[in-house]
Amino acid sequence: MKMNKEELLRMINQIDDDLLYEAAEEYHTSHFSSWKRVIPVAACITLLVLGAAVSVLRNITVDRSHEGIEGTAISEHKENTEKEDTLNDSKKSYTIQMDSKGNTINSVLDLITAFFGEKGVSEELVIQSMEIRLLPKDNTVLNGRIMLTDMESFTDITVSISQNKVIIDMEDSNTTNSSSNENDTLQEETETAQNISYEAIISRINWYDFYKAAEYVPQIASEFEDSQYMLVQAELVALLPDIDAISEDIPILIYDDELKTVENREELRDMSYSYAFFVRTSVTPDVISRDFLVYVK
Amino acid sequence: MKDEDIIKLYFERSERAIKETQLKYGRLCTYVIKNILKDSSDVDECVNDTYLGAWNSIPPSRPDVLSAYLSKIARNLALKKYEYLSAHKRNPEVLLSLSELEDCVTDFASSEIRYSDTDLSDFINRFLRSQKQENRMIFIRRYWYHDSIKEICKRYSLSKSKVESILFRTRKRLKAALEEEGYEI
Repeated sequence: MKMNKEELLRMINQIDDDLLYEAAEEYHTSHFSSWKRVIPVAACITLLVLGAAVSVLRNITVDRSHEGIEGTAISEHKENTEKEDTLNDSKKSYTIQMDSKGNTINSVLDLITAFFGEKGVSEELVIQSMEIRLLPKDNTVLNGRIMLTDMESFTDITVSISQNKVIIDMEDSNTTNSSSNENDTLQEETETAQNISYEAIISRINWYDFYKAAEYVPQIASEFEDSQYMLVQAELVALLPDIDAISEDIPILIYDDELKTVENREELRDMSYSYAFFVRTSVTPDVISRDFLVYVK
Repeated sequence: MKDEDIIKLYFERSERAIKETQLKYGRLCTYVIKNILKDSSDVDECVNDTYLGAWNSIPPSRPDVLSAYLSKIARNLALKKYEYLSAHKRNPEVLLSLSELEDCVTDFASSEIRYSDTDLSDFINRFLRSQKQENRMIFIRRYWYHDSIKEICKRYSLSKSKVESILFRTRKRLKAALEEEGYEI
């Protein structure tokens, strides 16, 4: 007995609801994402503009190099190039050595947060951008880059993470700006960039709140056990204007001392919360992304 | 509105059920139908028939997954319409995706039906669940939703050659699985 074409098509018609839903879920997500990504994309463009302007300035005044001192838990060195003097000794670079066998996302975040505490970084620490790649089978970090700003001291902090070390650059953004006075055109560019960046900054995520909520990251990672890599990104997003605009396919979690899944979205309407942010997980290189919305009380 | 609430409206025979279905799943139904039919008036008609289909079947049906339930109604209506439409109105993508799938069988002449829905359903769902999630989703997008290769590439950010290769390999595995299961192809 041979299977014929009609039977084959009939077989395809028998694909069950769960599988169809799985394939359609992505449909909802992709359409929702187009709405939802407007703000993050705009913020990314802003940061790119800012980054380009700042890097132009830095290329003129500072030769950025990271020379970590091997063998010490936390080694500190100041850049001692001639150009650094232009910045009034305002830039410092720290290298934190880690276990070369790999470090979990939580241990890396613990380390960075402890370092901030040790260096007296204020609580007003906001994430400008963040991208961390993980190996989901054991949640170890492959690499990552986090850009933050201490809003009290106006210090820009760049954290570069590799498998066995973390390099933290801290730079007084006020001083950086004053050096741009040497060039009127560049100053103008910087002012424009700063205006844009200020708007971006006021709606950014606080590092400490993200750090507390980040315990959820391994749970997300565990959902991708069969994937080779995972990219975790936190993208902010100001208060969402309309809960109804959020697709029901996006799980919502709420952080209030502990992380809980929101079962009834109606309760979000009357709730006061500080802000909400998305955790976006993407499996690379095939880029299947999942978003989680986290409200922080 | 949650799916359970919409279904409740159907059970109460409230006409608001249609409105809420349209609000929440109108775009999905249109999308599924548009992949099969190109003419916008046919698409609109099919979308409306989908709501009517849901109205007539709920109750007694109480779908577990409303989106999939509506997609199935929409797709079946669109395929029925497709059969009756003249060739120039047909969406070449459907013809293409169906012809790709025909690689899995060699006998197209017979119209005799010999395998039961239950057996076929059991087989295909078991087969798809044994595939990697990504491969499974791409297969369903192509052969159930009739997405074009280009749309799949965009949706999953994959290259054309990768999508084609995934589909080719999945079809090959499907053919092998059919043979292994005792289906003659």
